Amino acid sequence: MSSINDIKFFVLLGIVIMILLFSSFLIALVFSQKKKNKYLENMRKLREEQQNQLIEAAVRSEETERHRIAETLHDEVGAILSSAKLHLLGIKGDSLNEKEKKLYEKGGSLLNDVIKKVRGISHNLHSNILKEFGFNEAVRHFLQQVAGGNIEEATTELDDNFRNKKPDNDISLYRTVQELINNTLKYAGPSKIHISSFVLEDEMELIIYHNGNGLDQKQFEELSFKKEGLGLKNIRNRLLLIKGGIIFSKSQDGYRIHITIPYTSKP
Amino acid sequence: MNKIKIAIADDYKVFREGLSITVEIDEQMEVIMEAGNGEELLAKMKAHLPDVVIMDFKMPVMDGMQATRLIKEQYPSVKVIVISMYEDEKFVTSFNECGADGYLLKNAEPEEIRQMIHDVTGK
Repeated sequence: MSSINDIKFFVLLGIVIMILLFSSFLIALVFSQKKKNKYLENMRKLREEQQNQLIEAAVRSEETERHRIAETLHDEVGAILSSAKLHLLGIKGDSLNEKEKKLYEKGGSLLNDVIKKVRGISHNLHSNILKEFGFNEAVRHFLQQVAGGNIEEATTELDDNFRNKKPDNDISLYRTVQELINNTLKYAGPSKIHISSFVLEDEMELIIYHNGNGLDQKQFEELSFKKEGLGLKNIRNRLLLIKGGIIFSKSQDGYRIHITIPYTSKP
Repeated sequence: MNKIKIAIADDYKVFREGLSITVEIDEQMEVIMEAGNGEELLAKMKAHLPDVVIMDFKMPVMDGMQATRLIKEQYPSVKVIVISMYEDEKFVTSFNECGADGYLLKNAEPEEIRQMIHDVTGK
């Protein structure tokens, strides 16, 4: 009897040991898998972070360069051109003969053209208004500059509660709007543009409406992954930086571009 | 008759020259002082005062906004005309707030510049 009990005992013991071994093996496997997942997750985060840093560095250096060129154009070139005009107009027109007078007037009007052109380029490169008076004012001014006179209706309705505390984010949002409006004017041929914004509890929403021939979300995604879609890629990168979202939609009365960025009005 | 005495503050010499030529076409005006920034202007004004200062908005060391405010505090009789590259009305408003008597664009016609000097001095 005792030998049978012994066998039973050993078999049982063997089973228990096997179960223990098996389960510890399982536990080890689960742990190692978890560790591996965690490692992969960390790697992914790191890569994303690095990518964001790269985009940020590229965006910042582009901004610095734009600023430098804009300032030189605006201040230095602008001062020389304005002075050239004042010097030229220092000649008394009535002392000239008919032919000379024509040349003198032509010179003056060409100088006026180039002064305007240089100022336009400079403002486009870097908005002083953005820096001094904030995002809303800069958008109003920009729309007036590019659309004024060219299309029937260019209006804004911007929420004055929006005051960004991070000027760098302002620039990114402004560049996004600038790029979108420029693209719209260039490709969509609208007769009406309306930019509106409102501040919600924890985000700011900005809507660009136009009645031209615009893009829907699918077209935007397709275009922004193509090489030529550099402008759209820029928009994606800028929005990535400020954690913003963008949705293109089409409805009966026209096209809308919704941009949302995280925003809190609390200090 | 006394001429209208004018001071020009602008960090670009080439533009100061252009302005000098422009105002001195009018025989009632003479440029008595030039400065490259607000601080230099105020230092020179300690010796003698102009009737009108033509002031650039953006200058190193002390900009036009601050210089205008100080001039209006210390010498309220001196007229200040701001001349700037910035055409946005927001800039004009901030200059009015610090006491400037007039605002001109750098691209203004010479006639406008001379007319504004006459206007602010009443001469």
